Amino acid sequence: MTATPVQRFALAARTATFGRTFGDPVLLVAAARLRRTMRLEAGASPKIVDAMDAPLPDGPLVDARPDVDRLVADARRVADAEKQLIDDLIREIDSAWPKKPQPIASWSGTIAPGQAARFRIAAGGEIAIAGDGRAPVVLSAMIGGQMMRDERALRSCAYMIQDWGTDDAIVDIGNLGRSASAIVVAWHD
Amino acid sequence: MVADSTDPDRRRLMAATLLLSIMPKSSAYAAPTPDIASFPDIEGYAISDDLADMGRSLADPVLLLAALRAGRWVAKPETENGPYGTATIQHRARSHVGDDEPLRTAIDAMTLVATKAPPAYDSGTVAIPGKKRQDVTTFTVPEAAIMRVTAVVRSPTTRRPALRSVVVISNSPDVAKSSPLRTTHEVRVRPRDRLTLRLENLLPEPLTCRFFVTKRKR
Repeated sequence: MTATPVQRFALAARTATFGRTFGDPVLLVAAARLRRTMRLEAGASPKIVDAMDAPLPDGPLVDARPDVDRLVADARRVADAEKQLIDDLIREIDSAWPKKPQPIASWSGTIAPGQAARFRIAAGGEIAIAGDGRAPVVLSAMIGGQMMRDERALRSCAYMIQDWGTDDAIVDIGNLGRSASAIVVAWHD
Repeated sequence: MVADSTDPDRRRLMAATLLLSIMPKSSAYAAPTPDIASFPDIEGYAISDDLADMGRSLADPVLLLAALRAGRWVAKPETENGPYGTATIQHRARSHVGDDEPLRTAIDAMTLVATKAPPAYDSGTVAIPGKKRQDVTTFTVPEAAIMRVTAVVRSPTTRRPALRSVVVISNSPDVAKSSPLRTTHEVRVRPRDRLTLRLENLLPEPLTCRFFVTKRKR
């Protein structure tokens, strides 16, 4: 098993986005199952700065936050003909690996339009974000004078690893929409 | 009646409206209906692949089932027996499912799930040696359409510029782009056009790339 808890958080957010866009209960349960493998613990609060202009990622605006209870509720709502299967899968969510959820640092908050939450991630660290889908959120990182973005980012979720040299990454999570957006950030140094 | 911005009641109303517009709404907030067509195919393939990788490493049949479902929604263009193909993932999922009969039935029934995705025309995985350029697919177009040609570096760890790509249609070079991890072209084609995807590895070490040729959804 090579995936870190932050990578699993990022995959849970992307799978939640996919499942909510297509209304697929199996994907929503899978996102909940991934999310159950970690425990979010409050980390350092970010500095709030003005958001930089940046290209918007692709994709629909949809809630990417992989909250287990909401994912389960959403899965039940769209289960239709698969209700029995989905109920069975929901009962098994807690059996996901690992048995004990792994702790990761996190921050939950709201970013106003035109503002960004700024984090500092050490070399080798990684960070993932999941937004509520009310506004596009963009993760951009400045590492050693170079601007980096997640090539796979959707409008409400993204993931970055700092694998360049020994510099810290300055990571800005900017709200480029017109509404405030609630986000969840998970990271490790 | 003309609104007076100096009216205290009016100003309070404007302030309240502004505050409401920037405050997080309650859980009763109804998200807008997601736009399926705007979901990028390539991200659907990537999520399906990543769920398959995660499901394999965790021996988790639910994640493998989700990988199959994700691939169905975007008509993931894989050969049945490739590493990310339906047959391979189904086989893995069955081997981990134990005596969970409903889950086994769901995995067996995957081929029956209808997809709303457009057809995918070609795909594959190629290894490109360091600092080399090669044609990775040549494809005859069956219909007039806007085709989307995408190449992705599979390793998510590198952030360095790694790829440059060119799409050639009937021997006419299109615009070249480069990207750290992904490169996508959209080209308008006519029936019987020949379309070639040419990739160049900008790094000294070999890269593994996946490529996809699909029709744009809209």
